[in-house]
Order: sequence, then C-alpha cells, then structure tokens
Amino acid sequence: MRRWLTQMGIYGFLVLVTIVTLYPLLWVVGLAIGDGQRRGGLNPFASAPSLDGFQTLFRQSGFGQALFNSLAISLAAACLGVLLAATLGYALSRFQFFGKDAGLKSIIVSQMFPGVVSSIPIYWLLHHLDLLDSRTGLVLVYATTSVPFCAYAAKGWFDTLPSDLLDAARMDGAGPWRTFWTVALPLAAPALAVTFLFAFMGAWSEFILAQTFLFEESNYTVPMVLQRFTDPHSADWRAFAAGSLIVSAPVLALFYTLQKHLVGGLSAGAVK
Amino acid sequence: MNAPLLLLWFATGVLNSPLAAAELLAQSGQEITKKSEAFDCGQSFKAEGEPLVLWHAWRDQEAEALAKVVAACGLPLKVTSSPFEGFPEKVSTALAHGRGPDLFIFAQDRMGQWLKAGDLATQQAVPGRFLPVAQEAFLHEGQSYGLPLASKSLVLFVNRALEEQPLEDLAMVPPRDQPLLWTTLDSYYHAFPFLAAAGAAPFDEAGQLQFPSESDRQGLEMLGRLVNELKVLPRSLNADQAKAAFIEGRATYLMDGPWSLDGLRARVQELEIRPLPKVNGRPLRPFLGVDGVFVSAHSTRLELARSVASALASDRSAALRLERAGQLVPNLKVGAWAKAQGLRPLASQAMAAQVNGYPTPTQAEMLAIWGPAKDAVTAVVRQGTPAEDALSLAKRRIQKMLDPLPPPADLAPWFVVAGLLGVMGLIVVVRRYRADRLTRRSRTPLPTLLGFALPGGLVLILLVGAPILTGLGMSLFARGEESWRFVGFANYLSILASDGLGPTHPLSFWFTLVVTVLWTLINVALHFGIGLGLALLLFRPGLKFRTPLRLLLILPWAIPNYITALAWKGLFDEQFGAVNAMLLTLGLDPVGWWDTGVAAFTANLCTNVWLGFPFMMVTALGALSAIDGDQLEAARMDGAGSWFRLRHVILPQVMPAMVPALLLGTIWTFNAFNVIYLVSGGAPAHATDILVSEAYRFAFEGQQRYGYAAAYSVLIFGILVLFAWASTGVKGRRES
Repeated sequence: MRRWLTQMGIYGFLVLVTIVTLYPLLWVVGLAIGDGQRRGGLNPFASAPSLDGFQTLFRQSGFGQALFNSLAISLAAACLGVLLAATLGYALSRFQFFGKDAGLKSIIVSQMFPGVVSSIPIYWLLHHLDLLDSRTGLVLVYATTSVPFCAYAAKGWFDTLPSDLLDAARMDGAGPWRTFWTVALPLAAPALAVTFLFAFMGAWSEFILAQTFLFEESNYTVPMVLQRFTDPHSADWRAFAAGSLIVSAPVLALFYTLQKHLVGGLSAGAVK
Repeated sequence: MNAPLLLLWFATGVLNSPLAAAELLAQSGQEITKKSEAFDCGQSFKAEGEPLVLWHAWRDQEAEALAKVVAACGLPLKVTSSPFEGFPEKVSTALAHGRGPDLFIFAQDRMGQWLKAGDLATQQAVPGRFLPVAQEAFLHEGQSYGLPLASKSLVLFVNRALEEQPLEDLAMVPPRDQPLLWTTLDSYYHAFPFLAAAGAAPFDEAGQLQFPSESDRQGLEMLGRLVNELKVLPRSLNADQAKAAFIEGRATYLMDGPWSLDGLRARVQELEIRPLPKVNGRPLRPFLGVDGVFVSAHSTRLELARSVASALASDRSAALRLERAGQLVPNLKVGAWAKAQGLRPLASQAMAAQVNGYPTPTQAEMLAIWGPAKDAVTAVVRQGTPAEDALSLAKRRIQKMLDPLPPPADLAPWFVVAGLLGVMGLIVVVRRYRADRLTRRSRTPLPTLLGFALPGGLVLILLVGAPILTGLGMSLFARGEESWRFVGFANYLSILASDGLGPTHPLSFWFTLVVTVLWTLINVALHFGIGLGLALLLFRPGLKFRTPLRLLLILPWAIPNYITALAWKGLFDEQFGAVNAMLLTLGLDPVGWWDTGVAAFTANLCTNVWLGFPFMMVTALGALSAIDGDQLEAARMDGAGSWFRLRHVILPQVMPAMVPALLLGTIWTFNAFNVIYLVSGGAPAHATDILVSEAYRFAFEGQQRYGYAAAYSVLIFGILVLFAWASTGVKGRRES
C-alpha cells in the first residue's frame, strides 16, 4: 500500500512538473492560433482560433527564402562544425604532441570570454576575406562558434574508446585516417549526433551576428525576419508566435531523432 | 469609388461574387492611380547600368508603398529592407567599410553621427515643397543633408464614443482613480512632451547640450504629479497595454504615434486624432521624427543618387505613399490635395495634430541622453524619486559618457613589459618542449597531426582566438571621434571606480558583480537540483511513460530561447500575465514584476531555471545509466535505505560526470545575456543587469564605447578563469 502511494505521488509530481514546463509553450501556441487580441487570465487559447498569424507570416516577403537560407546555413555550419570538431577532438584524444594540454585548456578557456566586442574583429576579417553579406561567411562563423564545445565533447568520447580496438586496426595496416574514418568515427556516432545538434541549434537561432553581417534581403535568416515582428512600434506578436512554431519544428524534429544519443553522448566522456 | 466606400460594399455583402469584386477593385485601383498620377516624379530615368542600392527599415504597407514609388517613377533602385533595431549602426559600419548603400532612409535624429563620420552628401533643398519644419530637420550649418519623406510624432487618439467633454488641460482634470490619458511612460521619448511643455529643450539655441535644465526638472516634477497625485496618467504600462486598453474601450484617450493608426482604425469606430492636450495652459510638445532619404557621400554615382533621392521625395511619391500606406507626408501640395479629396482623413488629422512637434535634435550627443533620461523618468514616475535627484544622476552619467577621452598613455613601458613577458614565455615554452621531447618518445608524426588538428585549430585561432586577443587589446584603447587612443588601464580604473557611485548603486560595477554572482549561484544550484532530482525520478526502475515524460521535459532546451524568453516575459506581464492571474486566483495581490529589483530578478530567475534544467537532467540521466548496477544492488541487499544509496553509491558515481556540466553551466549562466536582455531588460533602473548585459549596453547603446565594453569583457573573463582555476584546484585537492 505504501509503495503504491509513493508510486502515485511520484507520478503526480512528474505530471505537475511537466504541466509547469509546458505551460509557457502553450502560450506561444495559443498566441499563434489566436485572434490577435491580447488575452489575460490563465487560459492561453482564444475561443475562436484562426490561422491569420501564419497568413501574415507567409505574406511577409522573403519568409520562404529566409527559411531556406536558415536551413542551408545551419546544416552547412553544423556539418562543418562537427567535421572540424571530430578531427580536432580525435587529435586531442589520441595523438601525442607538444602543447596538447595547453590546446585543450585554451579551448575551454576560450568559452569564458564573452563575445561582446568579438563582432568587430570578425566583421573586419570577413570584410577582408570578401565574405561580408554572404551565407558562406556566416556558415564559417557559426561553425567556429560551435567547435570549442563540440571538440571538447568529442574528445571526451574518443577517450572512452578502448585502445585495443584502434590498435587492432593499426595492426591490420590501416593508416591513421582509415582508422579514424572506419573505426573511431562510427563508434563516436552518439557524440557526433549531440555535437551536430548543438552546432545546428546555435546557428539556427542566432540573430545578432546575422543582423550585423548580412545586408541583402535575399540572404536573411529566419530569426532576422521574425525579429521584424517585434519592432517596438508595430509589434505583431501573433505572427511572431506563428513564426516561432515554424522555427521550433526542425529543432524539435532533430532533437527527437537524436534524443536516444543525447543521454549518453553528453556525459559518457566524463564518466570514462 | 474610393477605398472606404469599397470596404463598406464588401461589408454589407452587396458584392458576393468574387469576380465582380475583383473587377471593382481593378477599377478603383485605376482611379486611385489616375489621381496620384496628376503629380510627377520630377524627372525620368533611363534604365542603364547597375541599379543603385537603397536601404530602409520600413515594414508592411510603408515598404509596399515604397516599392510602388520605385515602379511608378522608374527609379534605378535595388531596395533592401532591414530590421529597425540596429539599423543606423549597420549603415555606419557598412559605410565605413565601403560596403554601404548609395541611399538610405531613416529619421533625422541619427544624422549627427553620420555627419561626423563624413558619410552624408549634401542635397538640394526644394523651397516651398515641404513643411518648413520638416525640411529644416535636415539642415546642418546651412546645408541640407536629407529630403523629408514622412513625419512621425506622438498624437492624441480619441475614442469619441466615450468622450464626455473635450480634454483641454491635463492639470485641470478633477482627481480620479482611473487614468484618463493612456500611454506608456517608459522612455524619454514618451516623457518629452511633458518636459517640453515646461519649456525644456535638450540643446540650447546655439546647439549646446543643456539637458537637464531647470525646465526639465519642472516638467518631470509635473509628470510625476500627473501620474502619482492626479492619477490622470498610468504609472506603469507598456505601449501594448495602453493600446489594448484603448481598443477594448477602457480608455478614452491614448497618446501614441501614427504607426499605431492602422491597428486602431480597424477596431475603434469613432476614432479621431487631435494634437496632444495642454498642461497648465501650455501644449505638450512631442518629438517630431522625420524619416528622410539620405545620400551616401561614398556613392560612386553621386549625381544619379541625388536625383533618385529627389524623385523619392517628389510629389508623386508623396501622393502614392499617403494613398497606399497612410504615411504622414510633409508635402504641402499633396497634403492639401488629400484634404480636398477626403483621402485618408485620419492621416490628414494626424498631420494637423503634429502642429506642436519638436524636431528631434540631430546632434550626436543626443545618443548619450536617451538612456540616462529614460532612467530618470522611470525613477520619478514609478519609484517616486524626487525629480532633482533623478536628473542629477542622469546629468552625471551623461557627462561621464561625453567626457573627453582619458589622456593618452605612454606606450613605451607597455612595450618593455610586453617584450619581457614575451621572452619569459618563450623561455618557458622552449624548456617545456625540451622536457617533453625527452620524456615522450612516441610522438605522432607531424603530417598526421597537422592533417587532423590544423583545419579546426586554424579556424579557432582566426575566429575565436584572434577576436579574444583583439578584445584584450581593445580594452586598453578608447574610441575617439576619428581614431582610437591608447589609454592604458584607464578603462579598467573607471569601471572599478564605478564613476564614483557607491557600491550599493545599481549602476556600480560592484553591485552588478554581486547580482551576477547571486544570479549564477542560484541558477546553477536550481538547475542542478531540479535536473538531478528529475533524473533520479525518471530513472526509478519500473517507471512507466519514462520516454514521453523525458521528451516533454526537454522541450525548454529544444526551442530557441529568444522565443521562450519572450513568452516568459509575457507571462510576467503585470496586466495580462498568467502569473498575476494565478496570484489573483489564489487570492493574492498581483505583483508589478518590473517595479522592484527582487521581483524582476525572480522573473529572470524563473525563466532561466526553466531554460536550463533540461540540460542538467539529460546529463544526469546519462551519468545514472552508467552507474554500476551491481554495487547498487549490493547496497540494496545490505538493506541500505534510499537516502544512503543516493548519498554513498549514486552521487559519488554521478558527480564526476556532472562536474564538466556544472562548469559549463556556470559559464553559460554567468554570460546569459539573452535572458536578461529579453526578459527584464535590466529593469528597474539596471538593478537586474548582470556584468555581460552591462557590457553590451556600453558597446551598443549610446556612445558605443567599445574600449570600455572590451574592458568589461576582460574582467568577466578574468573572474571566470579564476573561478575555474579555483574549482578545479578544490577538486584536485579532494581527490588527492
């Protein structure tokens, strides 16, 4: 009996926490399909739902283009970021070289420097590489922002791979690249999935750098278009909320595809 | 057939055949064009060569009308619309790098900055075409630098259905418990009409800064009385709330700008627009912003750009923009025509209502005023601070911002120190390298190593390392009008001395540091506690629905946080927010979440805890799944209670995996700029700002003191490095 009570208590508690967690999101949904009036009270949903918010959104010129840009930029940035992070992480984990510790430490320490004024030198750099106002430039910037965390996570994961396995590959005559591609990388899939997710999310919702480095409307990303609905003078929160749902969809899809790996991929490196 | 009549036809359902409706629309469209075709574009353009580039920050109807103008006048233009926020900075930076547009459209108030940088080309004024006040807004030392397109200022919206007697003088209204004139007062922009009514002007006749003057004090005192004693103005509303009250028929009068006209016209039947009322017999004078077209001095085809600008400001363009977007065009001929035609009557009313407008000053110093003046207004209106105190603080902050640069520091000792450090560093590296070579014989061959590490390493050095070094360097400089000046530690000293404000003042570095540390500690503790707690519950053997629960609980992490932070801000809204609705249901008083530091801090905290716990939960779940099951089973067999198992079996195994997550979480939370900026915005009066949001304020608001902001970044960096070093030290000692 007591066991049953505890069990019910736990379920009750978990359900309560889940409701509290979901409630703010319900407001976004309610706003997106609402009637455009501000609502008070506890019920986030309007009595007469409408899709006008989505209509406004798609009528806003350039939303489709921005969606495409964002997808292309974020996917490219995530792929590039994972590739760079995986090779770097592998080197940091498996190779012996001078400055390894210092390298790893500076990667972690670089995360502590707030990027307040970083946009100024990066602007200068992109200008001189002729990558201002280009999606390629933004891909490069986004990929790099994600590399430190991802390389750190990948390094942790590679550390856990049993050395015997890699040594066996070497015995079979595989060079370091073959060993990496055919043995280490497949085994690191969970960690790579997580780093991909991180890199993608970072690029997908970034706004400040995009707004600084992109000029042409045809290059704009989705957060930039959404930002326009929050202009102080003429905010359209319904269209913003509708856009938010669309923006969230790919990330959610990705999250749920990769969630199996998420649990292991994040912490495995540290557990050893 | 004019547009309103057409709408009426639709509404009454006379036309239910879509075909007939389309026909009628086409006809009326023709007629409207015919009407504005009576005006001309001034000149015609031949389509040759690349089009010029025009940037603007207009939206929706205004942007569409602009496209119509470009088509109607055949302008050789490529038009790009940018977000309003950050637009002037973007133009400045792009122009400085030779990447800017040939023409751009913005309000006149940022002109001073562009003039200083030499970005603007002169333009021929057209005598007699525009309202004199609008044309004069673009004058600088007798030269015209822009042509006016549309004017914007606060006006009085009246719901005539609710009006009992005309509102003449706010100070003469008998005491009441409901506000009469609804508006937000959370900016200098919205408070200025009251200060100007008392005779205040930010700059004197000679263009010298005089804010805050005695008149400002009187005006602000009056504003305080109107809000807190006479209660004719609301104490704490944002613009959306005031507008909502007006739309819902709870407010007779609304002070708002023409940008709200469309939303209001559709929902308030008997809408009328008038000049702002008086206070003590003197009219309220709002800032008059005039959107104008500017020509970049860097354009390679200056003459063409000038004639395109002139066509954009032509009669034809004005007529089209008035007709299509209801813009308030300061064009005399078109204004008279619209009035005679009865076209856009509300726009005509709004134009007439701008009669007392005070053109927003163009001086670059204006940028230093907005922030401190806003804080002074909020302090008086919401906290009841005496106007004199609030203004003297504002004055101090403005002076500090406009202070001449610190004296240049001598570079020589720095070179010596840097040289010495460099040599010492080199020696250390070489010695370590030797030692390393002796002990480690099995080094990876260089080509392999470079193949793996070089691409990532190079990109990191270029795009992460170099910016950090630049930041370090920048913190020793101050940005002058034309160049950077080396000032040594002056920025750091100024920050640590907090401009002489006591450590308990919200604007002092030390106060912000304490807030930041509290913010980080509480957040990380709650993230950790909640995350681990939920993970333990979800990990219990035999729990059903584990996967769906986990999937739902990580949602806050999965959705971009600029969206969810804004959702939380909405939940904490004083009037419409669900949190206050909940408090009311529980029989408690609603809380003004942005009025006190503690409340606003709590609101930020709730948001960030919600955002951050899933990361810890997932990490903990991962760590739990790696626990040695046998040990746990053995402990259970031995009859160990669940508390004992947690304390002595589970935690010791979980913690090693949690430490990196905790460190990472601490860094992220310490620098959680997004949440602070989007939720409380530092309200009230910067009491909830953390170090990084202060740094952003210095870099991107007002005077753009990059050196100062860089010094802030370095301090933050130093604190975090110290923290990391100390915590790994503690860990190391425990382990040994």
